[in-house]
Amino acid sequence: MSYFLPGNQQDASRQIKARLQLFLLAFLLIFTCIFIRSFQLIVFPAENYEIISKKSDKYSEYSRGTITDRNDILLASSLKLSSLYVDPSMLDDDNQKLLAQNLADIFPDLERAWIEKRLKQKNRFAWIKRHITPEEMAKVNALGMPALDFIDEYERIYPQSSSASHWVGSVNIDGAGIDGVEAKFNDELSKSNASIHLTLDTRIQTIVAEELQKQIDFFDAKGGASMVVDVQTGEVLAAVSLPSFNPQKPSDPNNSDRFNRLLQGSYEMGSSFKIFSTAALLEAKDPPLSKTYDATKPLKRAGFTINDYHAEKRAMTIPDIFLHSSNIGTALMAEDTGSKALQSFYKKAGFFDAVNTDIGSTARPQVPDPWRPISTVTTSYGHGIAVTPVHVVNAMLQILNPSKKTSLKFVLNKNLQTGDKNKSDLVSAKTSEAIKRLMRLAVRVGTGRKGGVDGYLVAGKTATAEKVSGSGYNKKSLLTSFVSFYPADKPKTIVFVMMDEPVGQKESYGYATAGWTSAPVVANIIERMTAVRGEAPRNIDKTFDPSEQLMRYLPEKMLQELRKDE
Amino acid sequence: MKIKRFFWCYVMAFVAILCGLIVTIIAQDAQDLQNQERVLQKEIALDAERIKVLQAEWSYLTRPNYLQKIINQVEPDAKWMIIKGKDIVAASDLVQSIQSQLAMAESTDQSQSAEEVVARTQ
Repeated sequence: MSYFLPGNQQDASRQIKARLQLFLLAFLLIFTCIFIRSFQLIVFPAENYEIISKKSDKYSEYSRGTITDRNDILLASSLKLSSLYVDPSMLDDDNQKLLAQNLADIFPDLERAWIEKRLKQKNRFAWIKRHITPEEMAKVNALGMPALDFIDEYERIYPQSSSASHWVGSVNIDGAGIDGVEAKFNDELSKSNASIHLTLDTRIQTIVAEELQKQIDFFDAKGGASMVVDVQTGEVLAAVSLPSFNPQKPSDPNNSDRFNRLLQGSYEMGSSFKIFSTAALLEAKDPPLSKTYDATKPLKRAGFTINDYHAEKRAMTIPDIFLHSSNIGTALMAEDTGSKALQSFYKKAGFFDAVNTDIGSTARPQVPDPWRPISTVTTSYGHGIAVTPVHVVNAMLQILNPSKKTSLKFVLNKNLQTGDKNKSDLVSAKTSEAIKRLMRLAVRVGTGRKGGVDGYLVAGKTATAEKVSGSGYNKKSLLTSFVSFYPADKPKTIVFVMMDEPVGQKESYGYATAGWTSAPVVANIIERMTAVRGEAPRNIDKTFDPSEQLMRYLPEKMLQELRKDE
Repeated sequence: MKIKRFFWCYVMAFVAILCGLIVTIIAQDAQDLQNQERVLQKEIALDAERIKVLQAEWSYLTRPNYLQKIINQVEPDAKWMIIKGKDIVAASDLVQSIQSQLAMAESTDQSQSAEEVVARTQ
């Protein structure tokens, strides 16, 4: 049998030779490649390490990411802790008694009888103690009992305790976030090596919490909230809601301490709305600040009577109305603005919708529906419309930054800043300047005097609102707040303080208004915070004060009294 | 003649043996590197855990209110230690102050050194 195809033998031999040469060539080519690559690997071994290092990122695969403040101070982290268990089938009766005694000596908080019961169990696994310390672990190892063993578990720890608990949040038993940043960025934090950097500054956060708690205790208030925001960047430097909770201790998720007053609390804010209704008038009608409104007698509208807390009973200019916080004057200004213009301004300021921040949405505001003529009057001084403190601070940020799109930021990681972008056209530069001056005037000679700090040109507006109770308002149940910023000539920082149901004290002559309760907290916060931020006081001549130009709109009698005081 | 005929076969065999040898050496090296990597990974994991514990301890022990509590325990009358904005001086003011002090020193006492002026300003 021939192996060759038909044809002469010489052709066949040539064919075989050609195939063999081709095979040889291929063989040589392959081995040359192997040789070159081998040579490469030997001569340039660094390439080797790179490949290995790219593949190796395994050491943190079970660990949850960290949460830090703006200065990398740890707010939440996962630590590997050992838990002790026993295999009871490996123990006889004598061993059980001896071991129970030894373990009770190592863990004084465990009863000997309870340990003995665990050691006598029929199954092959029983926990003795979860999350033991390295010292306890060493003592257990020293016992040399093969029946005892350890399992490594990760425990979420919050070193700053309750400092920023409402924002950091907490995790459930399976290590999944249930609220705050832990829940919002659960997916990101579940990835290895993830790190969420908050805009909060732990030092300022502590100052704010301390000063607010001091005042809450003094005025026997139910709680309070405060926020410090950088005007230029919109970054939240401190955000405190009191009472707060320790995220380390598992507690009832419905516990009222977990309620975040800044984000979830919707309140009728009262007179701080006069900032926005005044801005709405200046934007809509651009009246001269000397324009007067008749506040000689209470205003009657739709069966309601609108009074002033300290009635001046005279015609008042716009600065006069603002610094005396006149409800009558503000209501008349709102009517002058017009219902449509006021609604449109409030909508643009974000008061008709929830504010979406990068760590979650606020509660939805409660807005009059339908909007009646009386709504224009009452909402101008902050009644009949309920918003969260975040709404107020967010709108303030827009007024102080008329040409810049700034939104509130709680997270420093750029890729996670998903909050609403504010529109930059809420107010003109002219209106912004007027509001700054009016607010400075309110601190210099008006209701917010106790919020002033020498050398810092603090500007602000007090607000004392009666809380809704049943079908009406409760005069004894107040919500006071002070929204402020400094310095008035070039705003750098917004400081907001709110107190829930403060009670008048002997030292405050029975008053529990914002001027007595919230404004002093702002002053104390600014005094201490400026040291942390390296902001030295300035020597400011009164002619440089932005409110100086508004003094001419005040009544002569008042100016005379002020001159006497100075 | 025979050598000439099988020349390419010898070359091939030589190349194959050489390659085999090199591959064996590389495989051995790779094995060693893998072992080293495993050891390093374990060390990194341990170090990472230690760093995390230290960071957590640092954060816990440097809580501002905790530090304040300790200061109050050590020095009960140390309330003045809470620094306020008015206690600090702007850098520009400090420079201005030093400059004016120096100018004054130059005009009044030529022998006074710059260090003395700075110390006095502080």
